[in-house]
Amino acid sequence: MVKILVFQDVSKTYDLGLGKKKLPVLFDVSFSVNKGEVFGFVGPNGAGKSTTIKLILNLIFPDKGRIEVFGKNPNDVEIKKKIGYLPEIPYYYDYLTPYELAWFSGKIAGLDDALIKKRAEELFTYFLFEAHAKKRIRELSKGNAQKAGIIATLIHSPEFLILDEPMTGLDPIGRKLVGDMILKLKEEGKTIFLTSHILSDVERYCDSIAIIYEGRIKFFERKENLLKSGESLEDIFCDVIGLKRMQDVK
Amino acid sequence: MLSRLYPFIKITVLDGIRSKVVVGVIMLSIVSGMANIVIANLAAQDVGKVAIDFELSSFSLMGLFVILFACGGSLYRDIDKKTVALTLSRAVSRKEYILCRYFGYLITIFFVAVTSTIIGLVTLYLIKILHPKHFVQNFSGVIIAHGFAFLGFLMLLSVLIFFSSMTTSSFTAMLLTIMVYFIGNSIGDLRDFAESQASIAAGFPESFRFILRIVHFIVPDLSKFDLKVFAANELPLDNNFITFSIAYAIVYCSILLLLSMKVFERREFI
Repeated sequence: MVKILVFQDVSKTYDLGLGKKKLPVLFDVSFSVNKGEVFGFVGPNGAGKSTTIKLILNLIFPDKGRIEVFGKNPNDVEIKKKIGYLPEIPYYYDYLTPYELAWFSGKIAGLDDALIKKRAEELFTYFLFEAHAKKRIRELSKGNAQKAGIIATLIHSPEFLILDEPMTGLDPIGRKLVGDMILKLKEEGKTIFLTSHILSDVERYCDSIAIIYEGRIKFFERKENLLKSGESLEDIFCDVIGLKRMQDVK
Repeated sequence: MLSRLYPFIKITVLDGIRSKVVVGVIMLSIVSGMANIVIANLAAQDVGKVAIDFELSSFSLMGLFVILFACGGSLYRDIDKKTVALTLSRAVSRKEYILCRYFGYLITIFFVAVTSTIIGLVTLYLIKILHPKHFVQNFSGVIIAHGFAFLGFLMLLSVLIFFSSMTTSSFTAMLLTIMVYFIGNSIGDLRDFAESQASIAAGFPESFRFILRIVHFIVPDLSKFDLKVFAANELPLDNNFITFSIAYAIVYCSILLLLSMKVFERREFI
């Protein structure tokens, strides 16, 4: 099985500056994502999900361990043409339009203008977003800015998608469209790294799931094994982070 | 290479020239032009000198505003709001990020500079029509002075990018850039004074002279790019001075951009 992403014994400590304590955030994290699978990466706030994504994208560097994306070091710029990244918080260039943002993503990935136009039309239509294509991003609602980001992420048809809370700010229709898109991408054989706090979404879309807690991978299993055990992801999640079952909490 | 850089430069320019700051600065240029007409009416004899001096001073201020608030604001969003992740998660290397941002801002500043120059020249032309006897200067010196001021803007922009590449807050980068602007505008005169016979005779300490030499070496000598006196008095401009100043600006910007790239390569975006 071809591995798109490999994390092996990766540790990371943030140096917050002079006179401040060092903050260890990841401890010997190991997991891998196979080609064509949807990998769910869940954990409570501050568990290390964003740090992991930043390491994949080479925005920060590991202190220890090995990271490979498409078999290469994440600092290789060329591999990023095959990656689509949707950030959790949709901060984009305020004065650009969603179409220009998509054009930028497509152009950087090496697409020509005609193909960008064709792909953009398809995506804007799919996400029922044509009316907003030429508006400035700063004029859009949070949900619509998120849609602009999703289109910019998908425009170059990347082989590996990193979707950080893709449902954030979306209305029910938007969530359904994004959910269906994830299933479509899965059918097309794309590899997806999905983080979400909505565990039912993770259970629905993902082939394998990892739970990270306090910087350590506490659970890593394929979904079929999870189903065999009869437990829900929510129950396992609560166990992993040391909480009682949800029904007990209630 | 250019085809790789072009998309990021283009969105930097689009994001820049559409920003409220740029629109505001252009509006301010118009208001400043109108104020110049009123002030010129108050000047008894040296209408031309006063008008040119006022116009070039306004132009310098506009440039400073665009660098600090349009370019600095854009860098603020990149660093503090983390939009930099949006760019660096795509096939843009960190070196290319610095280059594209610099050239994108350069084009934005050029756009504002050309617009402000046109507004300024139209204003000066109107003042010349209103006061033909007291406005004898031609406009070639004014245009050259604008060109030099633009070179000064580019040096200040490279300073802003350098500080932004290393500080964790864009506000700090802006403050440091403002500091460099003020030091840079006076360091040339200060050093000239310190090196003059008069200061030596007055017992100016050697240690201060040494410090001034070091500061003059590090901080851009922006006074070289302030040609208000030359333009207002139609003084001749030495070719060597022009060549040296242009070469100085190019070398200074290149060194700072290379340093920025070096620092940015190792920077983490937590």
